[in-house]
Amino acid sequence: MMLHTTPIILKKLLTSIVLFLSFQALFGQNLMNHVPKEAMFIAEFNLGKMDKKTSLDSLGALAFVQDFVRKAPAFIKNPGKFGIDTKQKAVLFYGTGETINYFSLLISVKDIEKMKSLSDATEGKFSLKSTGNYFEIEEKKYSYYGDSLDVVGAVNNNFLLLFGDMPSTDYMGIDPGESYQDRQKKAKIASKAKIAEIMALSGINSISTNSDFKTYYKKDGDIGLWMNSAIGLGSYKSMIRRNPMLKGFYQQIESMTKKSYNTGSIKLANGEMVLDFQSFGNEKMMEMVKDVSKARINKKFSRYVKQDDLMGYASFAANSYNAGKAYREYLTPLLDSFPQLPSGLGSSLFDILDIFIDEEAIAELVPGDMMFAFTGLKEYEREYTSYIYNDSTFEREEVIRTKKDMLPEFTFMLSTKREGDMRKILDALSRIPADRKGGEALFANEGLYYSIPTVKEKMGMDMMMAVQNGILFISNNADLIQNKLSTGYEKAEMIEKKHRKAMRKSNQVVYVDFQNIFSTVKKLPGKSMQDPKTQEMFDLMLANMDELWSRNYKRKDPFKSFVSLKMVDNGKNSLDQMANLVNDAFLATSRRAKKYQDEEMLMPEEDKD
Amino acid sequence: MKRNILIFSSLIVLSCCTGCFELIEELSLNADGSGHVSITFNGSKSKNKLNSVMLMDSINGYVVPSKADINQEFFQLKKDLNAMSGISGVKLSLDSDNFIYTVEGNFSNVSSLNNALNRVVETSLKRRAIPFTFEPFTHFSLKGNTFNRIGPERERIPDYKKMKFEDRKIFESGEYRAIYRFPVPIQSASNPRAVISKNGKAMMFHASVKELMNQRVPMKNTIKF
Repeated sequence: MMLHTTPIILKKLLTSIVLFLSFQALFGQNLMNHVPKEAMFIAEFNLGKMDKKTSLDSLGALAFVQDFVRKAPAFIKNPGKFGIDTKQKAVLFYGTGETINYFSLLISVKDIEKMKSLSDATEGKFSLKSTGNYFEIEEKKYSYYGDSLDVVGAVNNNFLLLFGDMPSTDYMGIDPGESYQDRQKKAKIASKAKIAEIMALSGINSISTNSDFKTYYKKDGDIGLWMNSAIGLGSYKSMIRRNPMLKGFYQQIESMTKKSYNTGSIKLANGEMVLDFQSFGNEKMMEMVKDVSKARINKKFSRYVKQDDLMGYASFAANSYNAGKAYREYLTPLLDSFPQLPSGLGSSLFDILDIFIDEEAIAELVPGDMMFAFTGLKEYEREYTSYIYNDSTFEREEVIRTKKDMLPEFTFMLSTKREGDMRKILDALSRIPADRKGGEALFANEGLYYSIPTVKEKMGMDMMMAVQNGILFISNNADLIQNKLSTGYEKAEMIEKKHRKAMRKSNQVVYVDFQNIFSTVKKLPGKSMQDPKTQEMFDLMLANMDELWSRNYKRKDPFKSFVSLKMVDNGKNSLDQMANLVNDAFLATSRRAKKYQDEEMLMPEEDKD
Repeated sequence: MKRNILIFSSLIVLSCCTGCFELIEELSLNADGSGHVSITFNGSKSKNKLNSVMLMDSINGYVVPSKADINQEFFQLKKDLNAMSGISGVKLSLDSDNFIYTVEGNFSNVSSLNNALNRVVETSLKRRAIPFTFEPFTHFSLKGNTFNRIGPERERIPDYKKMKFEDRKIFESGEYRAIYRFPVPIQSASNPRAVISKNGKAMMFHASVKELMNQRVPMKNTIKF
């Protein structure tokens, strides 16, 4: 029996040891297990995945990266030499505490023995000090009171932690009488304690056990992002400490952001960088946002924007009636919470306002959808004062000259269901003089449209307003306002289907056409625009940047959105293209700086005096 | 979303707007060493940009004063100058719509003028509680028939190359013009950029502010008359 059972026990024991070791190794290598629960912002870099798409070593060798890390510590400049594994995941996070706020970077380590050469390699500027469980990384810093050793990180067999702290906004102002040195001492103690906590953390007390994190955090991207919406609450807390009367206000903000998070992932694909973004949070807040988002972008907007001229636009739709209700819902308890105001004032005030204000009429006047489009650069001529000088005496005489200015051409459109009332408002404004002294009106009624003479006078630019087809227009595009308002542009001329589709599917769309912007700007006259170095920059942008989109995926789901940056070369990785664009721009700037220095060196000494 | 709009508008604005201004310094010297000085700032060429800037609270980290604040500052300057010994008849010409501002006045001698220019800077810094230690220097000197435009020493001029990009842009298209008139014809002017008028009694110097700041063109000028 014994003989029979021994191998089984041994086998089980062996399996347990293997499982335990594997579990330990897996657990130890999962850097997220060392991110504290209170982390407000997390960015996880999937370096291995990124390296497969584009060589990180080649990117690291680019001139601008080398210049950037020139003054960085040795282990950042050459991580492999110190046993740091740059092909695994790395996690950057930001946390807040009572005394300090901190940034931390966690990177995998494959050979801690190499890390031990840190002191020699940095000529004693950095050194390791054993605490028993891990090594503290100390940095020798010069201070007014003499050299001091600051703990700036820690390392164990699995990972390296780099740590930077700053006094927490919550802590600032606790004891105004506390000296700077005392505060620094407290911050140092808090930093050491936080480093020890991060090093000792296991999955149990880390962000990994947050149920929302487990459900929503996206692991499929090259960079994963996580943000707690309560990230700014620290500053409110310190405000309350200074003014306790704001407590009610704080509680309102806290209730709005409670258990609300944003999560996202960045994918660095060929020819495109995409940031997928998702917000979720407490039910009350989600419902409110959903109600406010029950709106569509007016389909007619697209008729009034010409595709050939399009440089970019932002269109947005919110349900103004529901937005009013939501403000009321949040403002009432806020007003009620102010101790200096009688209790119940908020709700009473809104009840009284209800008698006089017709919210439905306001919502019909401005339903809440709008579009702002840039459609080019337009040349304007305007006068300025200069002087001519008499040859004989150099007496000066004032002359008026004209100058051509390029200004952006834009159109702003706002939907209205009450055209008549909107016109009444504009008519009323056209009877008000521009200044107290009387004289010219703020708006001039030109029949089909209204012009704004003060803008023409000050900027040299025509600015017009009109109401037509359920839209209030504000634009400096004379052709549109004077000739196209009744029907808009022909279908073949108006913005492309992809834009119309995006505005139909989503209620917030931002679009930037880099190609049109830079090709237009490149052709602009003027010494500064035609300067070869400026042209070189425009060419670089044209060779790399295509367009930018930002919108939510579905109109009915305002919580999921994306930002996509499209690059010109679809066959090349977007990170690679972006890094090379930055590098080329860096090299061009360096060349110019060098040329400038050389010219300075060649300048005769007498000219330098 | 807001951020995207901001980046987009900034691109357009950056591409279109470059500041342009002109600073004109005129000095007429009498035979007894007294004279008349006038300093004009002409920002009319950048009227559009300046009008847009005036709508903002701050730009590039600098507080934007209102037109009323600017005028108030000039009124105070006139008051300060009139109270200084050796300075009289200070007049202002303020055209806020075109951003053209002129301060002019008479001086009894060049050292009174130097003293007034230095004290104006000092009082202005003190009034605004700007923590900057200003060391007075000699702007002009007159010895016999030799007039010197001295200007600040090299180390006093801010290092153009070390300036922030946004600040450099401000000076890039600025121009400086100095006109000095004398009671008798000018014999010589040391600055290579100096041009002498047909009647021989006036000298004009013209340079870009950038050239002066990066010290490619010297401001120093010795005029013998």
